[in-house]
Amino acid sequence: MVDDRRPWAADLAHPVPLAAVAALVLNDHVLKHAAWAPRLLSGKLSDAAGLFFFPILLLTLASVGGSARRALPAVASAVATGTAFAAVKLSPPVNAWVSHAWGPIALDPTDLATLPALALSVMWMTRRQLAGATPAPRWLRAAAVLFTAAASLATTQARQVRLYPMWTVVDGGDARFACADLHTWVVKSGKEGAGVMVRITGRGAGSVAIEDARFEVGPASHPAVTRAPGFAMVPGVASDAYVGFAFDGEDAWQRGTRDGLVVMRVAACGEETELRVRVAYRVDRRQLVSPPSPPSSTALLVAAPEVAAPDAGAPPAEPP
Amino acid sequence: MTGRRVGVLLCAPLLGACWHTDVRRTWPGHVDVRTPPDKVVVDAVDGIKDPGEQYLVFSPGVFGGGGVAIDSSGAARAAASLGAEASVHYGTRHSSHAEDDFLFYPERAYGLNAGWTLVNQDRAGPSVGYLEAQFFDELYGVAAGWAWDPTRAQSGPQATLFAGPLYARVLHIAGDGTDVTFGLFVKVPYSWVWAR
Repeated sequence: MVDDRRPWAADLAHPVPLAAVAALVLNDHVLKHAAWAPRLLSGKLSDAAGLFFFPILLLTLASVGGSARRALPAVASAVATGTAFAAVKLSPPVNAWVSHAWGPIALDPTDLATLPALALSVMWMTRRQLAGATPAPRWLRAAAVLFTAAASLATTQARQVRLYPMWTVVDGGDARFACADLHTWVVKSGKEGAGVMVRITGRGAGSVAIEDARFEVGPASHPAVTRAPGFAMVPGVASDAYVGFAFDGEDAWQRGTRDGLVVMRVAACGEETELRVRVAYRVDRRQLVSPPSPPSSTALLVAAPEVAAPDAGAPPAEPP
Repeated sequence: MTGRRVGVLLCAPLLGACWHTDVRRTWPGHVDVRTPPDKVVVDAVDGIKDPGEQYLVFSPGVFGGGGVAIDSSGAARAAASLGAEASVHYGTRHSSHAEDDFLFYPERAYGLNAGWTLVNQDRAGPSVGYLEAQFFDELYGVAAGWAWDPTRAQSGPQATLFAGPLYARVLHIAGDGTDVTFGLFVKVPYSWVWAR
């Protein structure tokens, strides 16, 4: 048992936790924006620093008096902090809620690797003070608490970023054929037009090719400006076909055009079919939680395999 | 030097934020539709390039400084000036601001300054009005125009160099003399912002 009745705030008013707070501030406001800073370092440093000082701040703000039994509240505070941290890092709904209230927080399970910082925090709070050592004066404790609380609140990156209207698939994005499954989404959307990606996942022997495609925006029809290759299907293997459409996306948005249709003539598994994919031109609010730049928002929220796209520009495969 | 730094320098004396209105905020960005994305993530949108913003900035404020006044005979004396100025600028930024940015300002802008030097120590006339055309790029700016001394019905050219909130100004009133002053502007910019 540790017999030390110093106030919790005294554990903050010390160079060690204050260095952790300073590291968090430096990381959030400098390193994360610096091209030279390793992503691995800047991505974890704030989490580790925060996990170290936040349990102390929590006890200070909760006005839990310093007692002879420091271990119990220290461990309880660390467990509460760790639980909340894990929930934010693992649970999309919790992450979305906290991100909305506090600012964007990465939904990244690998950040849990910083949890051992909680053990250091408990060790710090339960350490024995040297004989003759006196707690920091009241004004210094108050300043340390204010600094730490301000640093905790000011860790967010820019939240209210510019929102971009994007074409989004609303219906008809999935199709099933005898030899393949097709999943279509809009991968590019902007002033110059739009681009559609079709993920073709093999289910059996056969071939799939997008023979022709057009993007209908209101009364206007815009033919594809790129040609996707054909693919020989291998069960379980996915290929990506990209189709780009050039049109004035700014004019469409300005005119209030919000509905569109992507029509693709697909030769799949020996049959020819016309796929009609309904798309809508709208603003996806999820862009707000996708630092550092808006467009890849969905990537944060959708757990999906990530693959290079060599097939998108590869020469057409010969049908078997 | 970034636009934000310029904003900091321009607004720091005020210890306040730059106020603005987003006239057009949600607007399409740039994409290259002819090239497939480098990396494919299912259901994810590939990077959109930020087209930046356009600004119309109205900045009223005050200025004060000191320097030297050289009269028509060539005699030089210390001089001080204090006045008010309002500017209207059109400018651009290559990247869009975030609403919770503390300060932001166009990186390149041009416009007009209209001002009145209320106190012009050691000048015969009590005040001088002026109109200048101004251009600034990042931190630095230059303005040139014409000044009038209404009480003496005299006028002459005026030129000003800016570095953030600091200025150096040369004023020549025909038949009266030349003032060279250095000082500080304190302005409260208000911006109307259009996404490009």
